[in-house]
Amino acid sequence: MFSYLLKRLFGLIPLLIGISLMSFFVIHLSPGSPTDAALGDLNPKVSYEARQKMEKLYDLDKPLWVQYKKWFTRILRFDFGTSLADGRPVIDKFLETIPVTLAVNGLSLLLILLFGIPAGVIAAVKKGALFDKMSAVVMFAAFALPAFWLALVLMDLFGVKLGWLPVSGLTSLDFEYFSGPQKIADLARHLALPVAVSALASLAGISRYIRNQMNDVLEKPYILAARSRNLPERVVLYKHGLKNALLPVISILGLSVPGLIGGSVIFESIFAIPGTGRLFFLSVMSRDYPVIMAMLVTTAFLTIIGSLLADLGYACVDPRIRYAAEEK
Amino acid sequence: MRSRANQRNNKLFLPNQGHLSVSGGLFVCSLVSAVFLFLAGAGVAQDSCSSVPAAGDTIVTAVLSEPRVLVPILASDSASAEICGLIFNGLLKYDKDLELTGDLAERWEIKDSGLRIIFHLRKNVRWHDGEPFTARDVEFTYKKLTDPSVATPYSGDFLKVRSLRVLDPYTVEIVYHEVFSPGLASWTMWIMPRHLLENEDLHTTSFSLNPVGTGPYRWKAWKRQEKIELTANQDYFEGAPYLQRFYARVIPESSTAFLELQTRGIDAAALTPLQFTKQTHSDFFKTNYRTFELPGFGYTYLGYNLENPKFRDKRVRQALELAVNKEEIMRVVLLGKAEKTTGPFLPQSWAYDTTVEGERYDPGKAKELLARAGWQDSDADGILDKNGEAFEFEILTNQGNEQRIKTAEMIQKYLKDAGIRVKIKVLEWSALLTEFIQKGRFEAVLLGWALGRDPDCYDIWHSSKTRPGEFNFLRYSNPRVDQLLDEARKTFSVEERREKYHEIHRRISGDHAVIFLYASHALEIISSRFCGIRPAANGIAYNFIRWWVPLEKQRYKTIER
Repeated sequence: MFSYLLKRLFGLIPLLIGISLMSFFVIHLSPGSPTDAALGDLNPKVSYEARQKMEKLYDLDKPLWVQYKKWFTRILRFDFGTSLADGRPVIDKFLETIPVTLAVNGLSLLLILLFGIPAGVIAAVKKGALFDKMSAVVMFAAFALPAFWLALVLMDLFGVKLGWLPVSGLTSLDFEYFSGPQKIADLARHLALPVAVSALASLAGISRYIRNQMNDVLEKPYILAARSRNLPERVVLYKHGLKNALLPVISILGLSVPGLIGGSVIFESIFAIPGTGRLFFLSVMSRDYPVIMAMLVTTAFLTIIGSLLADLGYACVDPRIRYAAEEK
Repeated sequence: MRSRANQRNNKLFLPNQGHLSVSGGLFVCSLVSAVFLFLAGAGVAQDSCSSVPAAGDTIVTAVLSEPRVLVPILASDSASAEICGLIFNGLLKYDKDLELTGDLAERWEIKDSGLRIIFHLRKNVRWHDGEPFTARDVEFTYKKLTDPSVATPYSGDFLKVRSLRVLDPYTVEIVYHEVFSPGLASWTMWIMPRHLLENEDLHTTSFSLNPVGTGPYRWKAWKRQEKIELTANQDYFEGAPYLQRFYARVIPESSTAFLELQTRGIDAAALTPLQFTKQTHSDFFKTNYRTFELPGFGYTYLGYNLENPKFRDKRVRQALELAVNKEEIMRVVLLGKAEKTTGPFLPQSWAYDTTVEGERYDPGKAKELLARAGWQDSDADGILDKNGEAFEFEILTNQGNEQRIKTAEMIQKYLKDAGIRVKIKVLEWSALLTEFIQKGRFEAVLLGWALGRDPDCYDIWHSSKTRPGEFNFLRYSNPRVDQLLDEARKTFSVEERREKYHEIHRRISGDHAVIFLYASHALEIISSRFCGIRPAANGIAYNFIRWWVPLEKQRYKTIER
């Protein structure tokens, strides 16, 4: 097990270098320059000389490989540099937004598992029954609805028409003056819609997935064997059925690790939530290279770690995988 | 509970729920103060401002994106400019009629026919931290503006200064290399405090997180990507502002901002023409908000690459202009919330020659002119051709501006009727700029210019400004216009400048250099509880510190903690 882990970890090094190379060049070779942002919507008072001076100060006049070398040696020391947009350390900007995105995505993942798995199991057990048909329609509809549209409709309904929830933002204006419990309630009210909307589409996906997995498993001979041993249906379903059906969920969870901190531009913009998705979007639009690079590399790193964790998780729960790895 | 003294600490703002009702017009104060065309749309009559302004209350505004930097000379995005405008002052500012007037400077003298400008500064001004404001701060700001190691986009006008001398703590003398009249307007640049920034690197300084200025509002707090809070400067040299608190909420989606208006989560927002004309007429909006249609500060045009052989012939350019129905574009795309323009200046500016008529839509005459220029449909395919080459070209415009894209589509249709095939390519802003415009790789562009208050447009039209990255990317060249642009910079007399700019207007328009399409209006909506808003040529924000809310309508009251 340990040597397996070690092998996998060493394998990561060339992968990471490759990722850093690719993301660096893709961003720097894309048209546009960080100095364009200073122009705004074409302001003729922003002179040609001034923009040239800015290019020089940002090292943009140097050859690409020199810029890459500079950047890479800094990254090795976990120094992501400072943002070209506002001169603040990239890491600060990043760390400000992560808790928000993590909270929204973590909560929505929780919701997804909490509702998606039972819904899938019930649909599989009562295959063809009313619940299965109904849930199929609802889930496919939820899957197909554009999230931004759903978000706006819900904001209009709960925020404007009913007035139950705030329309957007993360906190109320006078949040700083609230007491502890008030703060929690305020945050909960603000987070309700974004979490619900972002959970909905994935909820649909995962519940259909579980249903299909469960269906497959329930047709396996060992379920028949369990039933013929006259085990209670509850034990058949949960101990023998669900346990096996849940295996692939591990890899889904593993792959959702980078998603936890990679926010969604659309949700965050519509709900005016200060998360990583918007930071990334704004940085791309203003060609803020250090911020873009830091986010790309971090996300790529987390994707790799996530799939590594998923593999290890498999090895833990499924002895067959573990032995196969060790035999190699 | 409400007190004006000691506002800085530990106050709590809560919605003043007891007084939300909007009273009928007991004290009607007329907003129609001047002869301006730009008046409040809905709700003027419901205004019930009593005669004595009261201090208190808060205004909550929305910005599309967070300010990037709050170091004044580095700020280039609109959100930073909005916040800096409340915290800092320039030596000069524009009054309601767009005339330059003193701000931190009490008065100024122009000597040696404009080579020297002497500013006499106000003596009673203090920075928000209590330090006095002096000529050294002006000198410091100038030095930073011209420092090669400072990445300011605004150095251009200041590099024309030969020297800046501090004559005494309240007098500054500025000498230019040559007479440069737009230079006066450049002193509207916000002045920075020397004592706080002298030993700082402007690009990384923590000052940007806690700016200290001389302006009507002082910095309070910044919740990243969420909101910015400012409080009234009780010692402001023009008197403390009435509105005690200013919030800017970051709301990146305009549809979200519109929903927030409907829950009164924000007090002010910019509207689209559709929202302005169709979606804000409900009773809710009529009782809670007032809308304003104000002159904008920019225009939209269709420009050609004038070095392209197709567009070298003036008759062709004139024909294109005749073929495009500008009135219809304004009616359809902007729902009439715009003004027709005929030249390179803002329609409300003194530089704009109102006698220039421009071409009226006349497709017949357009065809005739094109035929005279040799463009005929010889193969009867509906497209004009000349020497076997069909008349077709591509219009580039930027993504994210629906109005421009729709305008381009309408132009495509008009020109198709005239026998010209037009393709439209919509590109992301930065890519459009670096890959196509700066490299001269385009046939035509549909873009706009955001213009300052000073009419100097040397950088856009002078034939020397055609290097990649400079602004005469259409490569317009007319020796007489060059000469006039030069001369207009060399005189401070408004009469003389007006004459020259009027001629520039006539010549550029007569050359049919571009199709000047429209100057869209700024459409604003503001909670009707605010009094003292007086629309003028300079918009409404110029007297923001004199806006106020009658006591009975104040929504956020201050409570001692």
